[in-house]
Amino acid sequence: MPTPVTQAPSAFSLDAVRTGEPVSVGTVARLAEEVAFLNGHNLVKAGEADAPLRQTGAGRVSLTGLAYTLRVPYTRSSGARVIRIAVEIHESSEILDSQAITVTLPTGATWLDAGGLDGTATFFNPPVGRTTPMEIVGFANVSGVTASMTQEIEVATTPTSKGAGVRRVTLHECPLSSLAVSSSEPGWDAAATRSGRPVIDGGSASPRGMQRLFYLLDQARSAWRQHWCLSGVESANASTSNTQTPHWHRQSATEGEIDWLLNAPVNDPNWYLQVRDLYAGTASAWKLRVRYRTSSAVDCELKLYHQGGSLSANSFSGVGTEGSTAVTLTATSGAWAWTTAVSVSLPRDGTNGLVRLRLTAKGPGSGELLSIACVDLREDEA
Amino acid sequence: MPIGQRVVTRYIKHPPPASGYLADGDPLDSGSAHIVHSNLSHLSERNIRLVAHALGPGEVDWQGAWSGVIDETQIVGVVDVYSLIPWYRDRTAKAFGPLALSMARVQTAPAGLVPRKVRVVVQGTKSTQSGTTLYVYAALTATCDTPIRSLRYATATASKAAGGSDTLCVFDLLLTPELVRPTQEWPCREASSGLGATATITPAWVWVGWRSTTTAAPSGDPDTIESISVFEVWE
Repeated sequence: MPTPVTQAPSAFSLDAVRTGEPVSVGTVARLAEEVAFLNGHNLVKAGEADAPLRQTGAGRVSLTGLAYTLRVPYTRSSGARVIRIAVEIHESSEILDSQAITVTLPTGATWLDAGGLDGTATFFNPPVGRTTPMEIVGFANVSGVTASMTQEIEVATTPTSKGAGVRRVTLHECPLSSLAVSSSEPGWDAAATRSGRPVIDGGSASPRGMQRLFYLLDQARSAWRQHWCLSGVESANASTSNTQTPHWHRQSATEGEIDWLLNAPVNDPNWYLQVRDLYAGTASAWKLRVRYRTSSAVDCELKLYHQGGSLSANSFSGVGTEGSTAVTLTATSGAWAWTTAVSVSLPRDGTNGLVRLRLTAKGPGSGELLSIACVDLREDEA
Repeated sequence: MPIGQRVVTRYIKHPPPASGYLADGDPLDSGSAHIVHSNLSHLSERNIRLVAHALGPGEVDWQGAWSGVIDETQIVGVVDVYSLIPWYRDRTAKAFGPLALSMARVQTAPAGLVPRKVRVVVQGTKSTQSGTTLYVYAALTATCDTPIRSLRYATATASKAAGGSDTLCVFDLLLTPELVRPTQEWPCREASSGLGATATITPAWVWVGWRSTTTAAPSGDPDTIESISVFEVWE
């Protein structure tokens, strides 16, 4: 009997489980409902890729007519069987302004409904001045995907000479309506906890029994990840001019701010998140990867700074000292590459797990350029 | 009680399945049952999703905010503050999502379950131009359309007036939705599985907008928006 997936956790009182009294099948049924919520409904929203138009006044390479790729790092959580991929394209005032959009899925995934995102459709840009978004949506079956920390959704845009390209990519796992009576997904047999049934031991590979519930509980802890990413443009444009490149970049060989292509920013951007803080006192384990390109044979570096703290009165107050994690960007001499993942311990001493992040980099030096397309930070709970 | 009761506010690891920890016929003691219930409640609270992290535009071009907008009209004297900006990306706004909302709070008037709150943190810099203010808006909407035209589940706003020098501002906005109803069906499983192939869910989009009364350089001194962070929070 499939288990309906609830859209809310249950407000269960521990008074129902009393020392010295037998554990009733009713309280075990609550365990089953809660694992259904955690593994079936509360699924992952992956980070987004964002490609705003470039300020072109100073010779900056425009996105119009530029073929480029956006990447959304994604690790499948154990309950997900379908993902929703939505893409928005930029407005344009040009005639015959169009592009094909080709989404490359992780190994094992197949399209349920590509919505033209498999490169077979020609998408024409909406007119300039339109505030209403136009989402292009596809759904993919990911039930055959083996979760990996190196997986991603890759969105390539191939424009005509006036095609304005992709503005945004967003990715969400689709909540389930029910858990199957299956051991291959986080399945559970709701009949196992019907009134009158004995509470059995079971096993992790069986869709019923206490051991199975323990297994599903552990899946909701260790196979469920927070996804953080900054994802932008990756193209074949090889400009090494820091006033022209369409990519986020750093030229100087000393550690400093990355040029995020903002229009005259005053302060370097910081980002904020709340970690799960599962163990009350233990740092949160994450993996950091970077998609980058160096124009020369000089190694570069990216450094992630992290600090717990709180926000009040329009300012951040840190606790403890700011930590950092550096990742070496081995020279690629013009080719885009991912770094291998490095471990990051995010602090959990901020208020409700609040953490501030900021990024710096060392470039290759004068006349050369470090380009960055994606900074991928994914929770790596053991 | 928005989630189940916990023994302690942390996750307690238990022996792995098939470890022989709980064999058939063995009594399931209430202490173990308490721990498993507590762990599930803890995860229900703590498995919060990060929605999006993005860059701002840098300088805010407020004088040109409504210029060229073709499907929205500026209404002078409007009282709805969320209609003061056209929500034209990336000039005055960014949009993120959708996020399939998870119900995780209890509300009493009217009674029912309501979604988790969504926190929006916007970093900007308030310039020194005297008599000016930087406003930041956030809205959780029922469709991907702008907050002017879409049903808003929740809104929040913050502002900063000019001080004596450029001021780094970290605006902290909390979107607190009330009761919502499912609005869409998403496929959730291949149709050939013999099980439900769609799920009824409540998607929501997060809009972040800004407005500044500064004027452009060189006579003016524009404010800037540098970064945006959007994530669910636990209660």
